[in-house]
Amino acid sequence: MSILETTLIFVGIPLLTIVVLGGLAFVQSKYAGPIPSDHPYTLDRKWEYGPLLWTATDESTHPWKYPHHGHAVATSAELIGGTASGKW
Amino acid sequence: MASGDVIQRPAIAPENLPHGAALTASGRVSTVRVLGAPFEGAPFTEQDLITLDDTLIGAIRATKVRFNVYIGDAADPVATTDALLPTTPDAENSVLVAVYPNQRSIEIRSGREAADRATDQVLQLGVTAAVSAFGQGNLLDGITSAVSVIANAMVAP
Repeated sequence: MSILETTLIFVGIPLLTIVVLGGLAFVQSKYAGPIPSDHPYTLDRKWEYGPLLWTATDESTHPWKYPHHGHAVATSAELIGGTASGKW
Repeated sequence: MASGDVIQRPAIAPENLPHGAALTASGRVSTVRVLGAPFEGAPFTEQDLITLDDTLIGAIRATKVRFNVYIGDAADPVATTDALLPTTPDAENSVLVAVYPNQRSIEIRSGREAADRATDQVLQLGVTAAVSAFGQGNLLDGITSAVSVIANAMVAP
C-alpha cells in the first residue's frame, strides 16, 4: 500500500464523512417541527397571542436590604409615580 | 436558591403548574414538550429576545430599578396598565412598559419609589423612542429602545 493510498483511506474517508454529516446538519432545521418564530410577529398583524410579562428575573434591585413584607399598597393610584402614554 | 436572594412570590403557584412543568430557582417556569407536539412560545426571533433580555439586565443593573415589559390586548389600555402595575414584581421600585399592539397604544408607568428619577418627562422619552421604532413594524425593537432610553435618562438626566 503506497503512502497515497494510506492517506486516502485513513484521512480522506473520515474527512469525507465529517464534511457530509456536518453539511447536512447545517442545511436542516434546528428544530423537529415548526416554531413560533418561523413567522416573527410584525405590527401590521393582529396580536392574537396571550399576554406576556417579561423582566430580568435573576437581577435584584435591592441587594443591600431585606425584602419587606406586609405593607403592600392597596390601590394602584398610590403606587403610580410617573405616567406616559403614546399612540402610533 | 442561593443565599441572599430576594424571595418573591412566583407568578404561578407551584401546585397550579401544568403537567411536566417545574419552577426553577430564578422564577422561570421550565416546561416539557411532548414528542410531536408543536413548539409554543412568543412569536419573536431568538436574537430579538436575547437583545431585549440583555437590555433589561443592563437597565436594572445601571439604575437598581426593576424594568417590566408587558404585551397584551385590552379594551382600555390606560385602566388596564394602572391595574397591572401593582401585580408586577417590585412594583414600587419599577418601570412598567406596556404595549397593546391591537390598540396601537403604549403605556409606561413608574412606581412611587422610582418616580424621583423616572419622571413623566423621562418616561415620555421612552414613549417617543418606542413609537418611532414601531413605525417600522418591529415590536421588540421599539420596546428595547424604550427601556434603554429610559435607563440612560435615569442614570444621567
